[in-house]
Amino acid sequence: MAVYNNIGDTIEGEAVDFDGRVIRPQGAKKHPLTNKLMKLYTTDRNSHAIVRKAGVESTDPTIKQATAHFHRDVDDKLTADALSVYTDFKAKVKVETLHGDAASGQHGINYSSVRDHTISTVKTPLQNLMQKLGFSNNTLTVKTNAN
Amino acid sequence: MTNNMTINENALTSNSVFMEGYSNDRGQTVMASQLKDGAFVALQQGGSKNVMFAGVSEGMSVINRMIGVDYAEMQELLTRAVNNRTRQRNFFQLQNSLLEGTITEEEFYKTIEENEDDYVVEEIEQPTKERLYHALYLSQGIKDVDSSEDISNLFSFDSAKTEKELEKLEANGGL
Repeated sequence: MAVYNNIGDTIEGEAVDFDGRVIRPQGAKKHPLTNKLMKLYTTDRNSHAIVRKAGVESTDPTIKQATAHFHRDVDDKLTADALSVYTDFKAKVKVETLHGDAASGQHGINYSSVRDHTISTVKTPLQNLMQKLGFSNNTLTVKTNAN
Repeated sequence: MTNNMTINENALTSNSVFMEGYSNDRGQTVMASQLKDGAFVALQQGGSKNVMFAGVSEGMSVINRMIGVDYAEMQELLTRAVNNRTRQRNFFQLQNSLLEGTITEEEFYKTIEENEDDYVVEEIEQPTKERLYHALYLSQGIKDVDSSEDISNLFSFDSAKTEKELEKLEANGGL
C-alpha cells in the first residue's frame, strides 16, 4: 500500500472507491493508454481514489508496456486536487453526496464506490496555472476601447 | 493644433498596450501597439482608406494574428470543443432514455458502439505549446474547465502530451 500524489501517478483496480468536492461525469471516452472504451469522471479539489480489489495487468504486450507504471495493489491510493477516473463502460457508478458540517466549516464531499475495472490518474489542476499565465478562470473579460 | 491621445489595454492580446493619437493639423491618425510578443505602429492619412504600418514580431506570432491564422485556429478549436460537448450531450440523452426505460441496456451499448463518432470523445491531436496556450485562452470563457483532463477532453488533445506542454508553459510563465 502506498499514497501517490504526483501528476501522472495512476492506480488501476477491479474495484476502486473515489471521492472529491466535485465529481463530474464526462461521458464516453477511450482510455488513452489502453484504448478501451470507458466512462470518464473528473474530480475537483480534495480528491482521493483507492484500490479496493487489485488490478489485473493486461496480457497484450503493447498495453502491458504502456501501463507498466500503474499501481495495482489493494490500498494503493491517489490524493490530489484533480483526478481522472475511467470506469468500465458497463459499470454502475452511483455518486453519493455526504453533506458537510456548517458548524465546523467542513465542506461536503461526493463519493462513489465502483465494483468494476477502474483506472484513475492524477491530473494538473488549472486554477494556479491560469493565474500564472495571466488568464482568468471561466470569466472571459474582453475590455474594449470605451471611445 | 488639436491632438487626442487614448491608451487602453487590449485584453485580446493580454498585457498589450495600445495608443492612438490624432492630429487635426496634419489630418493623421497614428496608432502604436506594444504587445507581449512584438510591437507595431500604423499611420492613416486623413481622407485615405489606406493604413500604413510597420512592426516587429517574435517569430510569426504577431504576423499570424494580422493575417488571421490565429483566428482560423481559434475557430477550429472552438468548433472541436462544441462538437465534443455535443458528443457528451448525446451520451447523456441516450443514458436518459435508458433510465426512462424507452431503450434497453443492450440497445444503449449497441447504439454507442455502432456510432462512436456521435457519442465518444477521442484524443486526436498531440498539441504544441502554442496550440495548448490558445486552448487555455479559449477555456477562460468555457464552463467547468478545471483540470488538464478537461482540456484534453474538450479539445481532443493527447493527455500525456497535454501534461508535458502544460509543465513547460508553467515553467516559462507563458509561451
